[in-house]
Amino acid sequence: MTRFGPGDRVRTRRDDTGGHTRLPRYARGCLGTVDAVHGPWSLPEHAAAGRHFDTPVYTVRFDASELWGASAEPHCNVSLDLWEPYLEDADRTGGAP
Amino acid sequence: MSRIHDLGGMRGFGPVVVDPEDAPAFHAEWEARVFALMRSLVDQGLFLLDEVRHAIERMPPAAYLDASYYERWLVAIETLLVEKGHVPEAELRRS
Repeated sequence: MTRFGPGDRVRTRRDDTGGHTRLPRYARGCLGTVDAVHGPWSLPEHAAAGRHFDTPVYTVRFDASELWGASAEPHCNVSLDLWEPYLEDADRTGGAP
Repeated sequence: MSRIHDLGGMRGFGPVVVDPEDAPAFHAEWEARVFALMRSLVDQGLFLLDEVRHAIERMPPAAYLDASYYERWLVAIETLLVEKGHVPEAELRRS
């Protein structure tokens, strides 16, 4: 059961529990588009403590300007593979960047 | 918040240095041994890769930045062997 599908607009979570994660700091609170669905794979936050908990993983594409602002290289995208708990529905949290 | 390893987008570190394709895999023999030891520990199920990363990310920031790639792997091996009770810490310190 996956929460998102290709074409969905999502926003990465801003909150940081301080433990192991695969969501990098530069991509927190950013708006992107789901390109592909994978998994399920073991959530790194739990695996770091030896616990197994699977979630879907999504390839999410971000415009470089969304991550780096006006100094970003134009016409550039960055894709990250992100576990489902890292993402929120952009339409619910506000789609405007 | 995020820990020291999370360096993406940070300035001051200069360009990423990429070794040429025909460069040797290891800079020294001890690195190859650390690599083999880590592979063995993970393949036998003593460590999960996520636990290894978490151990590295918990290094004090200055120690992390000073350490080379395989030095960090060795820190992870030592940390996890002790935390999981496989090796007493006193035995690691003896050398």
